Amino acid sequence: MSAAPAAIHAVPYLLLGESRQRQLQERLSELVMQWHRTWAPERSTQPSVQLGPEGEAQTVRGEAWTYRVLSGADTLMQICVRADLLRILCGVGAGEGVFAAGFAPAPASLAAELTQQILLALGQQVVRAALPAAECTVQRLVGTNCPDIVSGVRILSVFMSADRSRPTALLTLSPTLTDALLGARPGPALREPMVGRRQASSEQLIRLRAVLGVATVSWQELNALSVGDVIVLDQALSAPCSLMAGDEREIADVALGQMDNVMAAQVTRLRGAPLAREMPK
Amino acid sequence: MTQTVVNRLDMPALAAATGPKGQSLGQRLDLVEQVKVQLSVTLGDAEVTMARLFALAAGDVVALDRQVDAPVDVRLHGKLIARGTLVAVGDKFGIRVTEIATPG
Repeated sequence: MSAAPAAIHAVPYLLLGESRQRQLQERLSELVMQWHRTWAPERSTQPSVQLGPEGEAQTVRGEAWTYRVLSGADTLMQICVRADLLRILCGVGAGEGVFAAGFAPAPASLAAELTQQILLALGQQVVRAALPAAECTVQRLVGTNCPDIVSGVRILSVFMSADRSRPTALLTLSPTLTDALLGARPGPALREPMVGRRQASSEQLIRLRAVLGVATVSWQELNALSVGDVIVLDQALSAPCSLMAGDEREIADVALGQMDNVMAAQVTRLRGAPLAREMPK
Repeated sequence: MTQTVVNRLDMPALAAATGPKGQSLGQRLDLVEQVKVQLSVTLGDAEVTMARLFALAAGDVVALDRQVDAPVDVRLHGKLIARGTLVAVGDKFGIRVTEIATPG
């Protein structure tokens, strides 16, 4: 067996919202507790699962091993675990626990084999809870000290010893496994209903301009124009004025007047088809 | 019958001159003094929502952003060039200019 690396670093991923991260933490805690009750029912230190600190690399300091939980060719989970997991979990190798007499000190190959079996049980516990039909296997990664972590979520630290400064294991879950554990993410349409384009634009402001009329003059007359001159418009006094949308489109004929001491335009006739029919529903 | 000779006509290639140029027309308004332009006279603006615009119907009154005694605007291509007061000239509207932008 090759020598295990001294430290394993894992960079956390931040692909889940806070509420789903908490949900994931609770779900994993439940499953790890079940697994722990099977393998170390008498140990006093109960495991706890915590989200890794945001944006910080995490490490299982000291000798550590990395395993992958696979379903077929897909990596569902990666577990980076302290090499002394057996001692922490079952007392093997430390002169304590039910297996101590037979395996103290446990040969390295046997410890690795037992660790792999125990982690296979953990993998099965988690994977079956999420994907009941999936069969999983566990594969040890040899010769890597940085988990080539599956594109996953924030890393979850599992503590099973009294030393809370040093996680016993780091778990990284693939998006597939995470989604399967938590259920489908709510789509945006479920959170916020769509509205029609007309409704969405109903508060859009449009500038209307009341145009009294036009006058056609030559450049010579325009150039000579000065204060006091009178420009005669083409518009008869009895003819309606125009209401324009922006500077471009005439939308209505209006009669001019006043209302509350300001100029006002009263619609006498709409031009063309009603505008509302030209907008998409 | 007279025989007509038709030859191909090749147009010379042109390119804008580079370097110093000759005298330009400058502000020779006399060249365009008879060209007609259209002035529009606007009384004021109003901002309404799309919802209000779609609901607009005959009989509705839209208040404009202009006091009753305020001058009206004279615009050329939408640009304000003068202001004046409304007058009647025979049976037509007229504007007596009270304020005008300096030529240029």
